[in-house]
Amino acid sequence: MEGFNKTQEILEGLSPKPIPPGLREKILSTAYYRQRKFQVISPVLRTLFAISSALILLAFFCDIMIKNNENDFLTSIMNGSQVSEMILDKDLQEMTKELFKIEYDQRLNQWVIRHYKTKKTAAKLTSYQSIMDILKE
Amino acid sequence: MGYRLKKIMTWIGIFLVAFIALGLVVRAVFNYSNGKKLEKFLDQRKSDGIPLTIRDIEPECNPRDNAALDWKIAEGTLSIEREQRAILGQVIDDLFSGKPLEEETKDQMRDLITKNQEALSFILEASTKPCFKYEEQWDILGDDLRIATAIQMIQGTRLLGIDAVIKAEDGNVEEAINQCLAARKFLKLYLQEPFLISYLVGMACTKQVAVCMNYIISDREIETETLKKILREWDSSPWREGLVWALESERILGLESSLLYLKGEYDLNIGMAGDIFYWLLRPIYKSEIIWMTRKYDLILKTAEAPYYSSGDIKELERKIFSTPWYYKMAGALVPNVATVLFKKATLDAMFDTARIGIACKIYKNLNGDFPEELAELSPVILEKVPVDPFTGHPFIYKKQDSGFIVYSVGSNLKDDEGRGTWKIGSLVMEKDDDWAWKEVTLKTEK
Repeated sequence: MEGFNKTQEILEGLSPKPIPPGLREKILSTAYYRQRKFQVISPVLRTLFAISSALILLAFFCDIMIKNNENDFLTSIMNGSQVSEMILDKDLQEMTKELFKIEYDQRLNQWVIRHYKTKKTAAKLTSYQSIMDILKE
Repeated sequence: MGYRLKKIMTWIGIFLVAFIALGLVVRAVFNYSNGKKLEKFLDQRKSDGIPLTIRDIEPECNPRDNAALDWKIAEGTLSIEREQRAILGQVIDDLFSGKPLEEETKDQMRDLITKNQEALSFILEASTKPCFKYEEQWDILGDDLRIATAIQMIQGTRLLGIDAVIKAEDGNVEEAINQCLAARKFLKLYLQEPFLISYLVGMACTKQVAVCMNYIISDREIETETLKKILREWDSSPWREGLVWALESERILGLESSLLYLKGEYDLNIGMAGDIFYWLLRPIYKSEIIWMTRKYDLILKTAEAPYYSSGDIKELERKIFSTPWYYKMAGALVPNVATVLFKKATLDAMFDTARIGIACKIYKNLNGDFPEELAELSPVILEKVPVDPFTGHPFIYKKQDSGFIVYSVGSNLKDDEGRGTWKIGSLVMEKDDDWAWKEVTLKTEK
């Protein structure tokens, strides 16, 4: 009991001291530098990621808007035109063969084949090789 | 180590996202600005009255006046076997070289002509009509615009020309000449069909008919009135207008297809790759459309001018084919017009030398001898003496013994003494590249 009272006296005699200036910062700073070693993403990168993601969404949104506006414009200017492509009636290969016989011109005929083979069902020539084979005949 | 790897991967990921974002922003800006440029370009074209779609250029042709309806019957009934086609081709080659037909060949041809008489009569019937429109409606939605079967067109007109030659050999010169004129008239009508493919096929057919006509008229005594009649009709000017029309329709087809592709209505039929390709290239494709249309403008301007004014044809070809790497897609839609112009020039040379040849024959009928110089033909027989399409200078004319030769120097611009070839191998031939019309010895009619 006597010991207890003595301790109480000593404690009552102590007055609280203020925290030394800069101690908190020092501790936090040390902790921050220790933690930084194990940090995966910095705040700057986090911001960069957020901005980039927003820009990607914005770009896709703009793309849709641009496309819709352009399509409306094209529809109005083309009077509602639909796909119209020409096809060669029967056998393209046979036709070009005849054309080669009359007009010996490799380059133009290559263009003819390339240009008019859009309708795959109508065209049998699909490569330059087959054109070259015909030219060799 | 795990932390470090995680960190590196996260950094790469974020920078990749940032890079994609930057790319997409640049693309969006590019897409928008190019879109605006295209809109402005198309608006300008529209306000200038330049057609943008095939429908805009569809001609009127009443079914009763439509030669294509007769042609369709001819196309369906014409029957020429593969081996016979080879013989027909050989006959045309021989006629070009001035080689007379052998009796055996004549018999084979007669059989073929008898077998295809109905088809030939329908072609002749078609030549009396004022217009040719194979596809009656050019705006069939979701359907395709069809063109005449080229192979039948080539064989049909070839047979018609050979039939005329045989008739002339049998003594029916007047009928033979009329048949060649009718064939030319039919092929002139065929020029009303759109697109370069029809033009090229038509031009090839016309050359064959010209070969037959030249064979019939040259070295043969013909009355002045008949010659005058031929002279009135035998010219190649419609083929110049035809070329412009073919290129114009090609430009419109290219533009229409490009715009429809841009709208997303035209599928490349390559699945998802096609969609990605479309999305990626959409901004560039808008500039490509403008580039392609302007390229066609240049081509049309060149096609309207005489061949000799094109200057160095190889340089022209280089200019037409100079496609920037980023415009390769539109570049594929631009034809090698240098070759088309060259072919057209050879047709002009064939027709114009024939016109001079016919005029010389008229001159002889009137004055007893061929002229000393071509200038003597004008203005009485020819309003103006045609010039060599390859040089812009007068054709070379040489009076020889009992006849004469008139010729164009051809693509090599060299005087090869009138020697020529039917088989063109390049834009500029090294030798034997003259286009001649000869009158050597007179054939006596049977």
